[in-house]
Amino acid sequence: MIMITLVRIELYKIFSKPRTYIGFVAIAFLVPLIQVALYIDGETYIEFSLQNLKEAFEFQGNLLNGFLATYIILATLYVHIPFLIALVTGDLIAGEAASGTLKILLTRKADRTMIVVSKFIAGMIYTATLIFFMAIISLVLGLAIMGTGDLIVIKNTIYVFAENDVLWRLIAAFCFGLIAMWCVGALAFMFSAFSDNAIGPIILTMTVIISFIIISAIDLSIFRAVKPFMFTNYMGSWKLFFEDPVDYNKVILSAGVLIFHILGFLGISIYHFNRKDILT
Amino acid sequence: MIQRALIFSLFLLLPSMVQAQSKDGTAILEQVKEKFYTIKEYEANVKIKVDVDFVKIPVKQGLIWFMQPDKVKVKIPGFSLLPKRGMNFTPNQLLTGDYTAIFIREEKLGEYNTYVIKVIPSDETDDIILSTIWVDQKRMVIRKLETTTKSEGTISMAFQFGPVVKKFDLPDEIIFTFDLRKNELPLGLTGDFENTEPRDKKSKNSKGTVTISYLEYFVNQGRAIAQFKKNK
Repeated sequence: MIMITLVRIELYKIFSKPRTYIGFVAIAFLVPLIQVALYIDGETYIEFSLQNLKEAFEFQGNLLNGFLATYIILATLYVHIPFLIALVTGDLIAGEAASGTLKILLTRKADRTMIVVSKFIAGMIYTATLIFFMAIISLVLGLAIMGTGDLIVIKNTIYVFAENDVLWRLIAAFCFGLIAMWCVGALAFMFSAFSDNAIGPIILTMTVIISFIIISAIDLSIFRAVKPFMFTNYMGSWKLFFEDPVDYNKVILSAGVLIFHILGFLGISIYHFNRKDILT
Repeated sequence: MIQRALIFSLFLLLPSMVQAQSKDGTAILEQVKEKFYTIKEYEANVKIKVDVDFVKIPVKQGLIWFMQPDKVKVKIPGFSLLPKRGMNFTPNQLLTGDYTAIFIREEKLGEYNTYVIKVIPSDETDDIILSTIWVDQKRMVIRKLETTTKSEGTISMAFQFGPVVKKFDLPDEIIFTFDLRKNELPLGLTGDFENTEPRDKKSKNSKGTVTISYLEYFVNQGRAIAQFKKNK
């Protein structure tokens, strides 16, 4: 019961801050912009991507639809969404430490672990709300502007998924994306526990993510060896839902690694917060 | 002695030469055309299966309408890949205009006895350079067709017919085989930027096949006429 009250208080604090809404505003601006741009110029884009197939095949039907737009948004934005998440979760402890309210908070009867966990849960709820908002706005707006249809995904193989086979894949991808973003949120939260100013954890989180993504993208043998140990390597596994057949072993492995990291970051945060000197 | 041997061998070859000359490629193809002319129009329920090594697309079901001489319309829900050449193929289409048909030989194609005929268009600007047609001797239908074009390489079409000859002898299945160039697929459309899987360094040439299974025909029932009228 105390935990629920604590989470509610933390959520109230999160949603009282203007910075919380930056993510929602950014998504509400960017998603329609991408959708409209795709609606206007998407056909040319698709034609260019499939030009070698055009030599042998006649295309029948419309590939530019709300499902493709949602897939493109997912693929392009999930690199940038971590910043919007770190903006809030990186501030959860460090923000209070900076403003001095952390000392007052710890004078209350709830123990430190409960306070950290309630803040963490509130941060994860914020992350889930942001991803849910992104999923809803992408899908609803995409389908309203461009309608439904088959989904084409271009990798080393070109996959075309039938219209009735797409929605579950997108929902599963968003769910997996949420686990990945929870991992980012947990990382920023952990840095927040170590810091006394809110900017540090946000910058540090983004530095870690960008560095890991760069290392993952460079195909050198030395980086290849460390890649399996970087959690960013598993963040893009939502794309596995857009292969046929879906490699569920890989999906479970990736989700497992991310959940392990989330619990690890939370554990470190609890451990450090319990030993944090708030008197000086 | 040599002269005698030459005359003897000529006598041996004569019957086969006479037989080859007796088969007129143009006449055989005219019979095929005539048979096909009995079909004024049709609507068919079809299933389309695309088999290309770097494309995975589900089997699609839809409708095809045909009206003489060469009108073809395809309606398939969602997105589908159809062979660029051959989808609107009819014997009339191949055999209209000026062409030279040469009877080559008789050949056993699977379990069917066929006439092999080469067709060369007289018009040098025609995209088709040469077509080879295997005509079923018994049913007078095309069993196989190989066409070499200037723009799209060689396309092969195999026609499968049911065992029972119906009133309108139309194929149950057509298998299109064609050459396909596999280029490096461009990134960006679906934002696959972080894909670190090793990509193929060289372009590969591969074969693609499209199988069209005709599930049900409605021949000369006016369905295609209504469809093409609707479009006008």
